[in-house]
Amino acid sequence: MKLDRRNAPGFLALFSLPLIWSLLLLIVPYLIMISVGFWLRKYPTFVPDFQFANYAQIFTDPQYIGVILRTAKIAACVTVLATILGYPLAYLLAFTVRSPGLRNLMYLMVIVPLWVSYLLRAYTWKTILGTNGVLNSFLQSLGLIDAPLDIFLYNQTAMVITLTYIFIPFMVMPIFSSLENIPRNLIEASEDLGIGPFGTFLKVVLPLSWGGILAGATVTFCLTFGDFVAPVLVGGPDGTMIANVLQNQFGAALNWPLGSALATLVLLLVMAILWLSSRLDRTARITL
Amino acid sequence: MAARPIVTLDGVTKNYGTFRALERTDLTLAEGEFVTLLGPSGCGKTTTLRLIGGFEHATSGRIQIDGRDMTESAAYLRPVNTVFQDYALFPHMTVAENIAYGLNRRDPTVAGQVSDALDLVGLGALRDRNPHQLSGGQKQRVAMARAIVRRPRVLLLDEPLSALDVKLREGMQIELKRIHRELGIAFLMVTHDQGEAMSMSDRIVVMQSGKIRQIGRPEELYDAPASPYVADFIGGSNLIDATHVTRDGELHRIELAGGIRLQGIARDGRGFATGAPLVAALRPEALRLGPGENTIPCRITEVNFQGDRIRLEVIPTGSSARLSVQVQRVGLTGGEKLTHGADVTLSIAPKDVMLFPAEAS
Ligand SMILES: Nc1ncnc2c1ncn2[C@@H]1O[C@H](COP(=O)(O)OP(=O)(O)O)[C@@H](O)[C@H]1O
Ligand SMILES: [Mg+2]
Repeated sequence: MKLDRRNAPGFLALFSLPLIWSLLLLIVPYLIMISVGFWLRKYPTFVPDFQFANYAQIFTDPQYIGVILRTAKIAACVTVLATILGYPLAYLLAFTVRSPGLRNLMYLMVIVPLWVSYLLRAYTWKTILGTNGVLNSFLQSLGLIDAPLDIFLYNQTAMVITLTYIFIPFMVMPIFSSLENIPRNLIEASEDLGIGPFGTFLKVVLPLSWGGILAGATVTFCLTFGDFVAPVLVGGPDGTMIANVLQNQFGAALNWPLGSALATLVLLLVMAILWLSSRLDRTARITL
Repeated sequence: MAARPIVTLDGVTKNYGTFRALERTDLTLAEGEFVTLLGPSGCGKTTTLRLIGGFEHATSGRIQIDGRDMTESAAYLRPVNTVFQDYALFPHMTVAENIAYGLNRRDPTVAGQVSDALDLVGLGALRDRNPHQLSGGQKQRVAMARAIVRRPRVLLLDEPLSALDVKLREGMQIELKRIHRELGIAFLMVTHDQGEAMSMSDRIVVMQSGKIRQIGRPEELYDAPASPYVADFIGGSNLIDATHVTRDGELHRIELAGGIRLQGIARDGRGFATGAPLVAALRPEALRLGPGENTIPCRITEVNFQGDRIRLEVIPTGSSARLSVQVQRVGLTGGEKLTHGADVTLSIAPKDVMLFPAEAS
């Protein structure tokens, strides 16, 4: 950063507080976390050290790699499902709903769940999918099943459904705004040049909303990757995700060094995803 | 007009909700013709173009294109192409990709067609640029190339030059005429600039609030406007209230406020009742300094130097009407006193006093 000398005092006065704030509350905690990852565990406490045993354990004990892969799989499923559901919804909002009033109302309905407690929303699915839940009662009342089924809850599918529901607004919002930013005359120009509605979607609308899809997918993937509530509420024995393992290291397992090493790894993974996403976005960046 | 009609509007009306943007409009565009829709903002020019392009659908009436009824056809099925007002170039494609967009990708001659179109608009060197790397004039040319590469039966242009600066605009007017000549397809252009319409068109369609007021060649509209509105819109006119006094063959004697009597002519040799209220249209360039057949004593209220000519604002004696007068400087002897407040005598040939019934305005 280059500071204009004349403005330097004013600049420092204005930004020193937020700078110190973020240094203390963001950078320092990260540094602590990263360094604790190299400490040694001496039950029941830990001693400062610089050794790689924690990382060695992560990479040799298949349980950790397994959890990371499973977390990535679930995050990928949620991302794909949210895209498949979110894109048409955003498209509907941006192109099909003509009346601005109705559009704003529908958009509000998409984002309003964000103001409701996360726990509450996750819990909703427990009531829907549970043994005595809405879905079972409904199927029973239709006579499709005789007794309540317990196959809906406590598995990875339930987790994917719940997480998709929770994070889909983060998918719809960026896609909607990218679609809304497409000048309508580009769509008319495409039709003018003899391309029908479907071709126009593939050749104009989809490429120009790619940035929105990418942004939505990145956010959804990263949020899912770090989630630890859904596994507890609706996940089964095979539903543990990396954040649960992490949480456990700082709680019951009482192994802060291993937990810090894991957290550092997760941080690196998320940063890698953000980097990849910004790379993809840059190659696709379009000046409208 | 001997040439075959390419586009025919037959009693086309377009409503937006309860607002009528176009009222029972008839219009025919012949093969290879350059026609301009001219009128003030909001008079329905773009609506007419969008109805032909297929982006709006007529509330009633029929639209034929190239001999087929296309009133209900979707835009992508119509053999017309549009040069959009703000170009509408695809930002995620290069210049060449934009131009090839509407062509069949499997056609082996596509590359040749794109090159030809680029050459026609003089942009061969920019084929791999992206739209955001182009100037306004260059975007304009790409939009042209993209529209004509499909060899439409008619090219629709919505204010194609209005976004360009004045110098560029004059160059592009000549370019557009050249391209029109070379392609031989019909052009239907929208503009609100009467100078542009006059210099480029075979025929001009003068519109006012959703209706066609007059269609004709530029010189027809200038020499024989059908209404004071057209007289004013094409070339500009002083519109003055008058009353009819007598008729003497072709000539009508009228009286302006303040008792000034003039002789004038009416379009189509029509007659007026004695004492009928009239509107006289006098072109600024038809008024001359010095006495003559129709003499109007005036006082100068403003003098506007414009290089080769001088524009005067004057008030006829005893009247509250204002007249604009355009005087060529070559014709001046140097003895005239053209200053604010000075008295001058103007005259105008009777054939240049165009008379209309007052209610027509
Ligand atoms: N989509 C629309 N909805 C409602 N009114 C419209 C719409 N498009 C145009 N209009 C109205 O129709 C009239 C004619 O518009 P337009 O054809 O664009 O005029 P021009 O191109 O001559 O300036 C204007 O008064 C405009 O406000
Ligand atoms: Mg317009």
